[in-house]
Amino acid sequence: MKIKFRLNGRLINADIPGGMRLIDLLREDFNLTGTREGCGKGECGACTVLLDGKPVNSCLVLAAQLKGRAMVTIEGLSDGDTLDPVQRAFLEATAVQCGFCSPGLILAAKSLLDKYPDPSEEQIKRAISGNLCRCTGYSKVFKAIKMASETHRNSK
Amino acid sequence: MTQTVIFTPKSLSEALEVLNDKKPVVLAGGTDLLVQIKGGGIPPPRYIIAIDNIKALKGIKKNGRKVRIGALTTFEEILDSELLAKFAPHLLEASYEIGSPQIRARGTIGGNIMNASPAGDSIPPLFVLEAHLILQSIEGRRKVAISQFHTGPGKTIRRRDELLIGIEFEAGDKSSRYFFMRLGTRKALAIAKVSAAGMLNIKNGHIGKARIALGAVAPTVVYAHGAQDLLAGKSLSPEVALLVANAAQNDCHPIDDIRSQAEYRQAMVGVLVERGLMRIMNELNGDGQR
Ligand SMILES: Cc1cc2nc3c(=O)[nH]c(=O)nc-3n(C[C@H](O)[C@H](O)[C@H](O)COP(=O)(O)OP(=O)(O)OC[C@H]3O[C@@H](n4cnc5c(N)ncnc54)[C@H](O)[C@@H]3O)c2cc1C
Ligand code: FES
Ligand code: FES
Repeated sequence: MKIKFRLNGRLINADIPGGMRLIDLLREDFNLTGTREGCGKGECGACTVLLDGKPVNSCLVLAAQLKGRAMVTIEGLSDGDTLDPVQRAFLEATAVQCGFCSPGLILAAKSLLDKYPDPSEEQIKRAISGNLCRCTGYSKVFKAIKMASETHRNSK
Repeated sequence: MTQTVIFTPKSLSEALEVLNDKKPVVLAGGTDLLVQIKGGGIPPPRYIIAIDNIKALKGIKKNGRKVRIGALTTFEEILDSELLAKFAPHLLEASYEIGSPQIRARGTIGGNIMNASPAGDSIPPLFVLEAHLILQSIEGRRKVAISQFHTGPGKTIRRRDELLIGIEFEAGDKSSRYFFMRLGTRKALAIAKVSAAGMLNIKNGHIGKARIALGAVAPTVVYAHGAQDLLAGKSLSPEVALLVANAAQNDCHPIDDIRSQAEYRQAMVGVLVERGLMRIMNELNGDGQR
């Protein structure tokens, strides 16, 4: 079936098999391998992308459901070589170890900060509650998100 | 699923035609259906109808005393709704507990009801509101009380040409008090082991109508009839709360499963109901006995 949507700012026309999952479209057809598949059933958040600004699990969306929507993957966050403040904060706080979970965590954090630029601790915890990380123990992730929110505020 | 044909109608009438002709599987947010297909619980469907572009299924409105929630309303939208914060605060409490941000951004109240899990978190709150489901097909509309709709785990009286379009309930007034309580293994991403919702009408300290519903303790969500009968005409006190909590334990028939054991569930029903009633009592004491 034919679908039209926005991917990282670009308008895309694609012809896809009906039951294809969004994550497979991204990884296989567009080679956007920053979106990871962990569990394939909504529990780990490694496959998180932003759909119309909201974090969703791309393993639980069909590509057909993209019709008319705008999507951002981790590859669409940086502007060329200039990283997004959230990405920079993750590096500076060393909130990345093996990195498998990082794209999903960064996008979840990004959507939090877009809605609440100055989030409470509870809001930060809730925002990343759908993203599993096996390495960092979350405290550095938490710190990175706090740092990003401060940079965000200071740049205003 | 590569052979699956997907329909993505924009209008309700178009969707009802497809439902009538092809009897496709309905896909809303996909957070239950796509997990079930992946896990092999459901064979890959021949036809799927994705309903997430149909505007008529979205939105929360109040008309006179009737509040209407579109079937496609997501848990995130419920949490952001001022109307529901006022007239169904316990539905917000339930939505707050569901899954994760990713699940709440996609998962819909319609999907939660139609998936027919006895642990579906939106269902007990809708029971105590005595909500009705609005089902539509090309032949017309029918309204069914939510307590009449589920017949077992995963089973409902929906016909395959019907779409759930919305949920309707009568708004309460100043005398209406609500609670939702649940128990899971941890805060995020855990399905409820036991849940309980309540609605009490309290005037001058006396309970008029009372509704208590229990989740995950029977093949469907159930009313705690014995508990409800005990509450009517009484005033809330710690003694009454305990009595009613004990009655609620006898109103349910839990089973052992992977998430918990029957005996534990039965005990926890009592704890949740007692906590819920005590919270209402404290709220009333806090803002002056009505
Ligand atoms: C990781 C994870 C955590 C979860 N946590 C919770 C939780 O804490 N509490 C909870 O209650 N649930 C939870 N769920 C389950 C799920 O998210 C909810 O039940 C959600 O409300 C389903 O809605 P959906 O729109 O995604 O439904 P879908 O998956 O799209 O559909 C579910 C079923 O309903 C049918 N259907 C959907 N809409 C309609 C309609 N309008 N008319 C007719 N049929 C329809 C579909 O055919 C399907 O059978 C969780 C799921 C996951 C993956
Ligand atoms: S791969 Fe999608 S949530 Fe785990
Ligand atoms: S850094 Fe390894 S899983 Fe998070």
